[in-house]
Amino acid sequence: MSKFIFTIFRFLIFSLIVYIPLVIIWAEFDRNSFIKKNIQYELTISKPIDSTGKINSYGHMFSRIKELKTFRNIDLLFIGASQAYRGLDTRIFRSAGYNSFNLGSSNQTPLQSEVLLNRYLKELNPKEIIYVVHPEVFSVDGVESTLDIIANDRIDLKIIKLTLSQKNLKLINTLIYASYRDLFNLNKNLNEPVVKRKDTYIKGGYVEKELSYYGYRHFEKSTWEFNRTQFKAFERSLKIISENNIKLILVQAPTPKSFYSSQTNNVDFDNLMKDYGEYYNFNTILNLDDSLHFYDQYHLNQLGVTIFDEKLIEMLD
Amino acid sequence: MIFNSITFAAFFGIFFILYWFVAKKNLSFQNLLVLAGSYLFYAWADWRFLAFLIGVSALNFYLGIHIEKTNNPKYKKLLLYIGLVQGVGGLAFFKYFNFFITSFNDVFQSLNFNINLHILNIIIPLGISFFTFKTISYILDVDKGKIEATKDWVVFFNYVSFFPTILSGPIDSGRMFIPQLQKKRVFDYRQATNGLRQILWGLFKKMVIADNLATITNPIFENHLQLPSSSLLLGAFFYTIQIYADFSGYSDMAIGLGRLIGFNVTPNFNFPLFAQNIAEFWRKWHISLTSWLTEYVFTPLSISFRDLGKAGLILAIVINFTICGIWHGANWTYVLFGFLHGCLFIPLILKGTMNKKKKTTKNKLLPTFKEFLNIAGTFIQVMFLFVIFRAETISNAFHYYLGIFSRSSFPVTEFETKTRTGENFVFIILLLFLLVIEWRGRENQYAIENLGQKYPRIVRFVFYALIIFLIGMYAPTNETPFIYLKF
Amino acid sequence: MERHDKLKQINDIFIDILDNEDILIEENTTAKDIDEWDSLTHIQLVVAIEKKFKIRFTSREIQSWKNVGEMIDCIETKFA
Repeated sequence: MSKFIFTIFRFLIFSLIVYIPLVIIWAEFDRNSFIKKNIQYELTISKPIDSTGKINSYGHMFSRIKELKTFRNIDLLFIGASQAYRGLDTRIFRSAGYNSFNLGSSNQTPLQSEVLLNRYLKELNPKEIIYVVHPEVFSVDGVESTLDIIANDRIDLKIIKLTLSQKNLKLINTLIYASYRDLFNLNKNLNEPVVKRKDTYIKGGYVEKELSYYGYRHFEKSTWEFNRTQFKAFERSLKIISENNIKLILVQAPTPKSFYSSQTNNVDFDNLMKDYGEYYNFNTILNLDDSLHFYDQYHLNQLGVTIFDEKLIEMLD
Repeated sequence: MIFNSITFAAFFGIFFILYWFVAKKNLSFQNLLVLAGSYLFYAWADWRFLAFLIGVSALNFYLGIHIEKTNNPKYKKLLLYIGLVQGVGGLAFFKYFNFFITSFNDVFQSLNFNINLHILNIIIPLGISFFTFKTISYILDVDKGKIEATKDWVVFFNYVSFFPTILSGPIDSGRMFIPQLQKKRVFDYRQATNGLRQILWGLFKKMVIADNLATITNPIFENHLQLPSSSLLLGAFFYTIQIYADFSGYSDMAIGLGRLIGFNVTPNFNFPLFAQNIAEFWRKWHISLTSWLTEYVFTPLSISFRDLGKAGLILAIVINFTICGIWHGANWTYVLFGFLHGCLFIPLILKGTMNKKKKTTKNKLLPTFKEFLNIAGTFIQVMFLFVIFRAETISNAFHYYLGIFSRSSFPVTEFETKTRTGENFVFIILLLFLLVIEWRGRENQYAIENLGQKYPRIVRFVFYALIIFLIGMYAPTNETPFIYLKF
Repeated sequence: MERHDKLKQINDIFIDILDNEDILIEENTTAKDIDEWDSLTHIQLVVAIEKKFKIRFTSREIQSWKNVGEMIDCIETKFA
């Protein structure tokens, strides 16, 4: 029996020694090929569409994290998923006198917001936080967004803990590769182009999309199914924010009426959010035009962003 | 808990430690621990039917003892029938009741009577097809004197509920398994490492091969009406490999787990896709089920029909396999599947070659041309019938066949186009890898049992580590898709 | 007929049905000892034996034999 336990132990160590380099070598192959199916290391600087036609990472997270280091003691901090980094234009807030940073990122769910807040809240030291919420982020498992952070930001104990808790092979493999790149500082000299396809990275973390308009589509009725883990992470984030005595405003960004009205539990979501503090659902506050102010069913175009941000600023004052 | 999950790994880890470190001195303690583990496992899967499982075990335990004890032949028969009625009746009710009702309704509807009997909201107790077959074989064996009725209830209850095999088999015969429960298990290094090795290979087959093939075959079967014949053929081809890898992989894990706790569970697969005729196929596919059917269905039937000569054999085989089909589920597709497999035996029975064992020459690198033709021919028969097995209705299966034979090969589908070339390339390599390893290892119980035994252990370690790497790299990961807010 | 004659006759039946001239059975031979003898060929052997000795077995008897010897015992009871 002891021989058995000992052998198993030796084998496990051995496998680890074999596995880790293999993952790293495999990932180096060609970062976007299918040969490495369970590694998804998507630096946002990589080609937006890879050789196989698959659309890759969005959000300019790489640039954002790089720029973040130069910001301190700001007035407003924005967090949330793409509606945050595409919906809150730091230039508009600046002209209203607010020094802001947009820490929104692609697919960001409460699990990732928690990690980002833990890392950067103290340095950024905002007076207020605008947290853009949407039912969808509370209903997914968040694996995609962890992948985003692993690739585009540094590796620390908290992100390792998050990865392990999400129990996903893709995350673990990507974490191994990302740790290697982080350890040897291989991303040091990488640079992300300011303009990528139709997106332009704006100082402060906002991403502006070339102006386009939404084409109407009919939506079947659907209901969001919420994920408890996300709510728990959300509560932990709120706790960090309140412990630092920062004012928090929860905001739901507007979406086209045709889409918004097809979701059946909007009111439930509103009620949930109201329990967490000051919450505004801009679908009910603003009366926007579906075909004029949006570029897809989730996101405002630059015209819509202007209206949204100006109203928000009005409410802040 | 499914075997390839972290929860199960944790459960089994704790169980293993308790079993070999705490319970090791005492047989009763060992058996009680296994029983507790099995009930915990079953309850975790479905607590609602734990009482049912225990009740079935208790009933058959009692019946076994009294069937053996009594001298009154009429009472003996009565007890036997009670057991058979409970077993078959239980299956009929839980698995097939709604099937009977809807079929009944359909028949009457086609005759223009709308009777519309209501189906009930019946939930099927997990593993019922497996443990019922165990209890039925047990009381039949006791009745015929093939086994001594066990007086130890812990032993018997363990036989019925043994957790590595209760959910998906293999179906151990009481004659082979009960004696193992009656002796203290002693830890054996070779047995345990053999078990781990088998589990590893099972994990590979299930997670890398079967689960990935499913991502290809599911869309094909769902959209078969719109696909060209080349895709349909590919779908059938891959599905055959998929179901082999899935089921044999799972059986390997079950057997491996059994080995880790000192039990020799009966084998279930013996490289069936290398069979050279349909009779050999069924000697190698789901062996525990076909052995069961041979002993308790085919043999009595063939004896009763023996005066009918070859026609009698044919009748017995066809009935036998139709029952085999029905066992798989409550759908006419399974009935047809089984029936047609039985029919495939007809040429063999008529030619008298059903029993000729055609072994591929041992240790040869490649099959001979004749062997290859036989293997391919058998594979094709099996592949076509698996379409019926997989289809949701007979009509779907029919349209699938129609699609293969009447539709054109073009346009080619996603699988065949360049956008997925990378992924396809990996798949093909993995399938070739599987083929080579399985062919090489076909004389063993499972493909990698004796792989590399001639070389130093480090070489085998490298190979196993490679398998783990392949699992880590190619097992499906199932995260929830984030549809829009990623943009 | 002597017991060992019966054995020889049964051996001939085995050779014929199982199509293998090298088969040599003894009293304690079981199905495990002969490759071609399984539950499928078993019934053909039984039918041939019944025809040869002009006897009839019951289903229970057929399923009760553990080796060739027991088979012969059963045959002998038919002549008793």
